[in-house]
Amino acid sequence: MNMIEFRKVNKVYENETVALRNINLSIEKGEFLFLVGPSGSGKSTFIKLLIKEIPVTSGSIFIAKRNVCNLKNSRIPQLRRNIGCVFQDFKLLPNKTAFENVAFALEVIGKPGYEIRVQVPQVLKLVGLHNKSNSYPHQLSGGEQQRVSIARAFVNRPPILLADEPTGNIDPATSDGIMKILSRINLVGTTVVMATHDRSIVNSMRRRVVELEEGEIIRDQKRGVYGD
Amino acid sequence: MLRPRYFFSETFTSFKRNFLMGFTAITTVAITLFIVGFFAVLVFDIQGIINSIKSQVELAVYLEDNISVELRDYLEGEISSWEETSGIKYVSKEQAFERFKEQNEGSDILKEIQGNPLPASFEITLNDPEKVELVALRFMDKDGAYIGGVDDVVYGQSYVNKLFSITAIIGTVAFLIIILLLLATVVLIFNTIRLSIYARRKEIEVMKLVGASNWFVRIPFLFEGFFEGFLGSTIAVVLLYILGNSLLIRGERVIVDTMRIKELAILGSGHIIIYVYIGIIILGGLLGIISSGIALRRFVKA
Ligand SMILES: Nc1ncnc2c1ncn2[C@@H]1O[C@H](COP(=O)(O)OP(=O)(O)OP(=O)(O)O)[C@@H](O)[C@H]1O
Ligand SMILES: [Mg+2]
Repeated sequence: MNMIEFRKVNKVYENETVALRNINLSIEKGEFLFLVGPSGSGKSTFIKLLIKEIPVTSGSIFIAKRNVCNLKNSRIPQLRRNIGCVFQDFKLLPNKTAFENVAFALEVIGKPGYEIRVQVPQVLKLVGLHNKSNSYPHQLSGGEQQRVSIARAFVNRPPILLADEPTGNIDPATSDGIMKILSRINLVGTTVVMATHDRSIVNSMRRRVVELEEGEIIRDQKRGVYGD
Repeated sequence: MLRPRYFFSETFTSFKRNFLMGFTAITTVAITLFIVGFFAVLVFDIQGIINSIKSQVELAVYLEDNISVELRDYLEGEISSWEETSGIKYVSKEQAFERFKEQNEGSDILKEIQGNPLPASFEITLNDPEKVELVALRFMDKDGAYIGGVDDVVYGQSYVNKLFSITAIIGTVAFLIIILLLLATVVLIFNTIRLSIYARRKEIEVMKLVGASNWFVRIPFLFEGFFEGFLGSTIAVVLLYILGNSLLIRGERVIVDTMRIKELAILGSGHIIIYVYIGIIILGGLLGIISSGIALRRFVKA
């Protein structure tokens, strides 16, 4: 089944920067996909379109067979609860601790307090941050903030996980840990799309690779590597 | 999906963390509503004084000394039957003299008076004081002379007219002041809360990106707005209470002692001050929640 489908998607920003050009792409349910390409090639734009952080300029995007381009505003929260997203700039709530930031993703879907108190520490342990639960984002390093962001993205086990450079600020050892976690949640059927610059990770995983350049898909390989 | 615990603790912690903004909002509410309340009390007292002076406006009809009892009774019956009349009191020559003596006790004037020069009179109170001229005219015939048995009619025409025009002016001015104060209050509170929401617009954006519904984002802010409005107005009431029981109540005592006026905000039997307190608290809470609601519309659209 197609989990995500782009049909003739174009994205032009207000200042007339063309970020994505005629994107046609299908991603199967349970697939693990690397989105690679140089800086400014449109990877983050691709991800932002999926959660409707920004609107498409033309074309349509289907998620679970549903055209999300004409989704009503009131349905957007529902969409976002089914897509875990690790943002390139983390987007943590500055006034909440690591624990509270992760718990927030469960609170918005109405999980009761006792479940939150069990699940959040588990996930924080998974990303190796259980001893920093009570730290605020400004008290954490870039890599630590990134891991909080990752924990928040999959704490509620969404069917789709988007990760925009989730290993960008993390040392190789921790990156390996993160990749293990992503593989594990991919194994239970979660569709994972990960934008990355990390050549060694892409090469070691041997998953589908889609390469962007100036907003266009220039390569789509089944068991690909980062590129030449 | 109602989660009062979450919203309650969210409101509380967010207030703790945005203390300065919250403090500003509360202070704004407290000061402006305190002023509004203070003016409400003043206006009510002034209105009370005016009403009481209005109802004290009387028509004194002085009778000739040689008036017959029949004519006197006839006049009394006639006056009582007019619909403008709310009360009529006969003051005999003796009563008038007693009153005069009381008022001028210890004064030399009493020694110089021989006999009783004061006339008997009817003291008439009207239910609509503005009809005083009309009623007075009934004691005259076509030529402008007083009818039989009546010596003089006194009602201080210019004083009455002035009083009515002053009443109208004070009433309008007070009303305008209160409206202006309320408007200023609304704008101040609205701006303060809008600033505090503006300061947190990034936070709102992030909440929405991780799937929070509009209401989920709004409710803590609305709680906070309500809480700030409520706390601010409670402080306003406490201030007003302190001021009321020290300064205002003394002023009212003077008014009561000198003018025997009963309709006052604090000392009056209606306990108007309590309604002012309740009104301020309701107003504060409402203003807080409504300001938040309007301010949020900008930032929690889609
Ligand atoms: N809000 C915006 N307004 C205008 N142009 C934008 C905006 N966001 C991105 N762009 C432009 O769109 C293009 C694609 O940006 P995007 O962020 O998708 O790149 P990226 O592949 O994620 O890059 P990186 O690897 O550096 O994160 C770039 O040319 C960028 O300058
Ligand atoms: Mg990017």
